[in-house]
Amino acid sequence: MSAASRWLYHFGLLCVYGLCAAPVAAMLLPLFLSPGDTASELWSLATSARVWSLWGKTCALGLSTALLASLLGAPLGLMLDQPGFRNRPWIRLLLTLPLLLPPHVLAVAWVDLLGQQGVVNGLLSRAGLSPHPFPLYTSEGVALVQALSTYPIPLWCVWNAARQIDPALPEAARNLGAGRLARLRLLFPLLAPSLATGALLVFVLTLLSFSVPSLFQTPVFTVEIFTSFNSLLDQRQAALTALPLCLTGMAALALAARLHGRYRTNSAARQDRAGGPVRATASTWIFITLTALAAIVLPLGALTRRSLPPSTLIAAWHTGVQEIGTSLLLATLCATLMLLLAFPLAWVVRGGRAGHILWPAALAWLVSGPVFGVGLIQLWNHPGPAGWIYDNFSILMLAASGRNFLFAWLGCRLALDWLPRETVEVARNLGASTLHVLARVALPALQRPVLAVWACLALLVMGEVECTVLVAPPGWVPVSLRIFTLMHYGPSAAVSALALLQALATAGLLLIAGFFAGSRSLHDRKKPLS
Amino acid sequence: MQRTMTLLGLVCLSAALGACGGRDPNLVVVYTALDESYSRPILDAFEAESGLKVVAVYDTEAAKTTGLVTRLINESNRPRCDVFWNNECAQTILLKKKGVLEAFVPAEAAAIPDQYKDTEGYWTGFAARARVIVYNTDQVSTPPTSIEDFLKPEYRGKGCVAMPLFGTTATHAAALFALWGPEKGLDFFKQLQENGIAILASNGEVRDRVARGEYAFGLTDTDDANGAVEDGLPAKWLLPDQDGLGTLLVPNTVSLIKGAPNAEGGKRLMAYLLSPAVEQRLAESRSIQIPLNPAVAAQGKVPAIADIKVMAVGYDAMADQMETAARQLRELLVR
Repeated sequence: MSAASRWLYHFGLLCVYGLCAAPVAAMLLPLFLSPGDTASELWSLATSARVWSLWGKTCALGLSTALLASLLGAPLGLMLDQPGFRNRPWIRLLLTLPLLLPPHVLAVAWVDLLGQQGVVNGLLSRAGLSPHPFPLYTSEGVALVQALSTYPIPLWCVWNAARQIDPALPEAARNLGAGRLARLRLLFPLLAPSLATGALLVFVLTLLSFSVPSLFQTPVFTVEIFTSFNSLLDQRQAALTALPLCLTGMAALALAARLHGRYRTNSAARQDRAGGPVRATASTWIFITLTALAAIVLPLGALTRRSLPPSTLIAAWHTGVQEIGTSLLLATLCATLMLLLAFPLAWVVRGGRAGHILWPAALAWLVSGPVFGVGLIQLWNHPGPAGWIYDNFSILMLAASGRNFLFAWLGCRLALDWLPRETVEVARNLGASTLHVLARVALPALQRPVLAVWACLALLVMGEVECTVLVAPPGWVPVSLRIFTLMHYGPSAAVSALALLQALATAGLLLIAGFFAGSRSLHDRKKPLS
Repeated sequence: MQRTMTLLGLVCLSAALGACGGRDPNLVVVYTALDESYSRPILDAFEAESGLKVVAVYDTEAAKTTGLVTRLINESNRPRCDVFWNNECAQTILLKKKGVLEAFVPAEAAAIPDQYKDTEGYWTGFAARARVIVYNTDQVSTPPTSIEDFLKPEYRGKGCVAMPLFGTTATHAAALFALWGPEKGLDFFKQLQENGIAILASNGEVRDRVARGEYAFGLTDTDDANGAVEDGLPAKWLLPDQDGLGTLLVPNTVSLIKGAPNAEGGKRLMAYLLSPAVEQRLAESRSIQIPLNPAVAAQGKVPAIADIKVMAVGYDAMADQMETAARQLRELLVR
């Protein structure tokens, strides 16, 4: 490693630990100052049958959500990789739309659709059929709603893995007369690790979810944590209670990291498949249409119906424009900063183990938003420069960036898989330094994947609320937080209208990223390496 | 690409640094748990009258995330907030016990009856909500008139309450624990469960699902119940236990934060909030908050305080039971 690379590595590491680990340490360290009390509280937690039962139910919910999301997302990921599939980027964006809306807002839309007095039952009643209320207020209902919200994650994982498979392999199988099922059996071992990674991410997301299970009266482990904070005002107990979920999430992420590292293919991203356009089959279109209908059209339709008349949308815009602006600013700045930190760091440790970066980032996400938020307050709310940061927009940036840095890191690591090794080797052989190769070869070559990571980060920050609710300075309220605030007291039309506006704003950000991704490519670069 | 990223990075740093700066001396920061649609117009009116700038931070009960109280406790070494305007009183009392509040009694507080004020001057109550029974008029002609009616066999599976770990339902649970004792209080909730009374996410959901006919009746607050009535839904509400243990009143409370950056501005805001005009405004709003100042006349649907048999439980005693009730109810209900 050159001196510059070492400097970059140490500086980056310091930033990651300051951003992610320090707030967690601020919250958890006091626990170790009184080890006796901590040990006895941990023991009572570990020996509580009720807590184990809750943990088991939460894990079961996570597994069922992951399974449903994978059953939906994986076939879609494969379908979208079919050669000559027309309008691919737009369909990928369309199918990613559920991630634009907060899960609790989608849950409310599903209550409108499938609830006892919902649209479906209303139609059944009018048709003279007896209404059969879908068991929404159960763990099955939670799993369905969360799967419809998170299936884009396995979709993208499988699509990314499928893109890396040598096209000669399925072509050879096709030429040898292998049917579709046989070709799938051939590809499955190559796709399985990425599919498992996507499923594990959905599992961890579900472990940490609170709003949807709470709305559907399903007891989950996060209720324990929130009760400790909100009802008992016992932060110490809340931090201890967060540990089992944190450890479970870490185990899942460790498995995902191992699967990704062990089975990462050596072939880098390919050019678009050669050969003439091949029409997508009718079954592909039917599956995509049904998914789009179930996951996007119906819930957005329910939200739009709640938002009518149009004057409600206009009124929501007038009252919410400042919050939407705050969210867009926060998302743009945080996504950019996280990328500026994660990408060079990922480049410097490329090919090596990076657990010492992954785990602080994972910890910041897994400890739960309120624990992280309280840690931020304890770290920054002091007289002097720390207090200046706490009193302003900067603390929102620290909160959103610290919580979501894990995804910046994972995204950059994945993006680097797309870089052709030969290109890097040629540059090195020509005498280019590591940082030179990063700036003049890697970044231009990975423009599209990097912009995709940026878009994902912006999307995550737009939806961040569990941490920002604690630290948002007066006058700096993201729109996701406003929706959360209004959900209890506000008219449902206003809430739905704001949620739609949030989705539109997020889609706008993604379109801008997509525009930049489509505007230039490696082949357009004219300047030679110097 | 790299130039774009570098430029964006510099912009980010500038934005972050540029956002730092000193606080405006005319700024008053209020943390308020009262819904924005009710509190914002009042704060705007105070701004216009006083010339001070008011920035409010609102609470969220929707998904029961950690709220303003946690924030106030953690910021106590260096508060951002000047005034805490809570829409209930138990957690205000807990903040007093944690040393987050400063004693201050505005002159306007003299008109508020003593039972709705802290004896040491750390908080003053005003504009109360009542815990009421909301019922669907299409489904029930003789609704329960007492919370203990929820345990009757004829009402099995027909009612709902919000999770008694958060919000005013938690306050109500603590009041019952204080009034009946923890054993009988816990037993009440056990029997609720056994009688098929559903535990929903929030008071708003109780209102919505009763109005939609999914449940025949439920326990909620006056502001939620009145919302269903004003929306033209088939719902009505009544004050429970008027012949028995009385209805729990949950007043708004206003308190000064210890070490507030703008204590003088905060005091002016407190005085304004305790004025008869504010209680009148809240009474006339959709939330129909009950004026505690006898000089403020109740109108329309707002019951007069003198006409209500109030639950005879001290707010301090109720706050003392909050933790016990929360722990025991969590053991019972979250599994």
